[in-house]
Amino acid sequence: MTTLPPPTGGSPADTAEVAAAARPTTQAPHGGRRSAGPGQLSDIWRRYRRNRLALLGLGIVGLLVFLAIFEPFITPFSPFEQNLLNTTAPPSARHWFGTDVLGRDMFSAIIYGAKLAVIVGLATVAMSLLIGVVFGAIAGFRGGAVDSVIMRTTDVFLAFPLLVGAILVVRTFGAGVTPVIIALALFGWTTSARLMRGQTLALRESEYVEAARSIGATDRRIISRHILPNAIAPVLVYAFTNIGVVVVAMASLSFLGIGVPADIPEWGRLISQSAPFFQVPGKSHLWAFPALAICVTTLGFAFVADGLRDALDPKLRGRG
Amino acid sequence: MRRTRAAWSATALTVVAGLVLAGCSQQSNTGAPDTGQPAVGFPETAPNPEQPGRPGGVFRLGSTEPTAIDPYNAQESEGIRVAEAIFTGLVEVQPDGAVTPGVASDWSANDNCSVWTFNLKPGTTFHNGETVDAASFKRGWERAAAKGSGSEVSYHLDVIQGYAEMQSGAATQLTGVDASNPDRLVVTLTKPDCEFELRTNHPVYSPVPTAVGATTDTAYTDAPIGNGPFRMDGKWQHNQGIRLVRFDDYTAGDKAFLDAVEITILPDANGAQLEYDGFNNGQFDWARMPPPLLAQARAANEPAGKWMSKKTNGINYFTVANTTAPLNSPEARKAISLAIDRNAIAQGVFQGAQSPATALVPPLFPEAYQDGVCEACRYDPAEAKRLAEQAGLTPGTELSLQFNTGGGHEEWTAAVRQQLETNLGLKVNYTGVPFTDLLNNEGAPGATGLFRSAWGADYPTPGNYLIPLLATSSIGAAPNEPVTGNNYGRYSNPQFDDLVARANASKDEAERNDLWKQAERIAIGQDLALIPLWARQQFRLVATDRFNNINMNFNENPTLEKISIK
Repeated sequence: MTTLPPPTGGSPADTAEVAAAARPTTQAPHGGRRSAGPGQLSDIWRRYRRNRLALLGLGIVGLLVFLAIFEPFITPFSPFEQNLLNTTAPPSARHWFGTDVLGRDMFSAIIYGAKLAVIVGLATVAMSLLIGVVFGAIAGFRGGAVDSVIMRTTDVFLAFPLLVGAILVVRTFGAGVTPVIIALALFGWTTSARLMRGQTLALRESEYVEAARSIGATDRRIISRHILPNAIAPVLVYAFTNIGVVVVAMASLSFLGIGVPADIPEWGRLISQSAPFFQVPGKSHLWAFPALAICVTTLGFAFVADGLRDALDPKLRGRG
Repeated sequence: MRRTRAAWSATALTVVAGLVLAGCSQQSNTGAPDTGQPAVGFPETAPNPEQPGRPGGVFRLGSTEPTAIDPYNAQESEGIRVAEAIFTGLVEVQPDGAVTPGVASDWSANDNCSVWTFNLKPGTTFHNGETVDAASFKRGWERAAAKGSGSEVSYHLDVIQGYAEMQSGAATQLTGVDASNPDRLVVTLTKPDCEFELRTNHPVYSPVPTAVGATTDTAYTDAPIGNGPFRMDGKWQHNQGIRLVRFDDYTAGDKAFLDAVEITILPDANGAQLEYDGFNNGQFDWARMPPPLLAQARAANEPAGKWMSKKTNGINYFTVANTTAPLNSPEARKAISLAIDRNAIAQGVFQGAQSPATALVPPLFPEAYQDGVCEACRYDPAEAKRLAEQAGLTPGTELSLQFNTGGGHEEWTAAVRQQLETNLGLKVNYTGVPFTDLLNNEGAPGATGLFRSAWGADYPTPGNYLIPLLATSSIGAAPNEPVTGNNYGRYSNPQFDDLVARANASKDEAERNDLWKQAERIAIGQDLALIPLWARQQFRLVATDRFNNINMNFNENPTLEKISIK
């Protein structure tokens, strides 16, 4: 007897049929398992890896996370140590990416920047996801006045361009990594909330939610156990795409001279300090490497998001 | 199971890789590269000698859009460039600092320098033929000083009796200016100033004709009628250009040689680059260049004599909170100064575009300049450490270092931070804030540490460095109030105050310079009330193959009135 909803990843219209078709035969009988089983994950993975770019993206993201974790062991030099006798030196065997305007090793600085990008990117997206999902689910499920209040609030935040809002917050709380995360999350949760609300609105009228309600499940249980697992996929996909946006936003803040303190080798800061050299022959390594790093990171997360979207799309489930 | 094993293998591999990499410690980032960087900065070039000229030629240069070219509000180098070409004031200041007659033939002050008399050359005229007389000056000064004139530079007139009343709207005339005799201008000051004639070199002291327009009338302010060696050829075409032609009836001084001066207005953002490109392709005869291109521009142009390098009117320094710990002793301030390697920063960060300062008063004033008066303006980490210990600046002491963001100060201040931390073991709290915040923070009661600052004199006198930055009167506030003057460090030394007061009241130039020197020896040599860092230096490419007599004046502009085609 399974009155329980199908596992993660379906929209209500398709769930019954698709779940029946796709459920691997190896899966244990439904003895009350509520989370996605290994079969479910392998199904997603099979569909994910069909996308070459998504695999490339996963490789990039994996590399970034690896660099972020092992940064102190990988960097050949301290990313902070200056050498004023050897500034703006071109790439060489000793300094693979050359040195910056303070003589710091650019390769080490880029790796340190990757760490910052990963920390800020993931923390910001996690925070905005948390806020967005909670508010979106409540708004969608409750409707009425609660919905209006929450949605008008998101409208207010949406009205602020991300950078302008972030500049205000950073100016108020001072420079540093934490204020940047707070600022970007504060102005980044609204789309998650809207997506979640839309999903919840559709799901709350579905039969299995009705069924759950009929056996006396509380609102909280219905949201967390029945609606959330089915609504989260598009929100997650959006969140992954958004990591790239966050990385660019942080770099933009630093480029504008706010955000992380000026002597921290952050990618946007590295580009900003090379501005006087944009037209100087032989100094292109100063801006090319950090620009490339931002570019690759953004693309990496975008590819992953793209692959996830396909992999989680129930319409493609069970094919190929 | 297979998958699980694969996952475990991946994790193990990662950990192993991490541990292997952990074995490689970071290298030390020191030493100069094998290729070698230029070992010298950019020394000053000798002035171009003055040679007899002949009429003709068009001198072309690029410029950013000025704020105003009408003298009531001309303020930055680019605006003053036009104003000083189309107007001639009472006196002229030559590039070497010498003061020569302008419209005034001679001038004198009473015993305490509170009343000044300027005798005017007879028969000089405006571009419209009107005679320049004492009333013309009074008219010009009152036009700028009037309430609601919109002038941002009228404060240069504030020593004249009646200025405050005009600013408040209580009066419509400067009571301190007597123009009853057309050939003689008598000026009464609110307080003695034995260098008042230097002030009158500012364009706001220009005469204006009776046909002058209101300061709000752009038809006039875009094409002012002046009395200078050049006159406007048509209107100022905003964001495009300004064209000046020689005033052939000029009698206030030597007639200009150039037929015309063509100023092309370029965008702010890449103006220096466009000037440089324009010079290289023959479009301009005078050009700035972006700092990173200085070395190659010099290498290409110095052999042909087209490279100009001159220390000008300005100093970059650290304001030091003199009255609060940890820098409230001369030893502590000297320790900081000795721990800063100015040469390394000048070469490494500024690529030679800045020159380390060894004094506050710049070499622009040869009679008052004291090279090395700041004994602590050298790099000596051992001595720095000794003094720091003596002053209680022990390792771990926290020191605030603030700079303004967006002005290109991020990098060199980061270099200073690292030097202070390495050489003295201090913990430097390094903070970038917007410029207005910086001024508020350094002026606030209880401010501590170092603040990035720069200063350029309004009038060509050492006193305009020493008094505003270091005199007790320039604090303008009690210890528990924000600073209202420019002495943000709250330095106060009665001996120094006495010396500058005596200099200010001395009518003898040699004696005055001697007193300025003594004062600087106390404030900078002995007390190090502020920490000089870089002397302002300017670089230009000049078409010496086509023109003679090109030099740079006090306002960092070409000496248009002297330039002649070859």
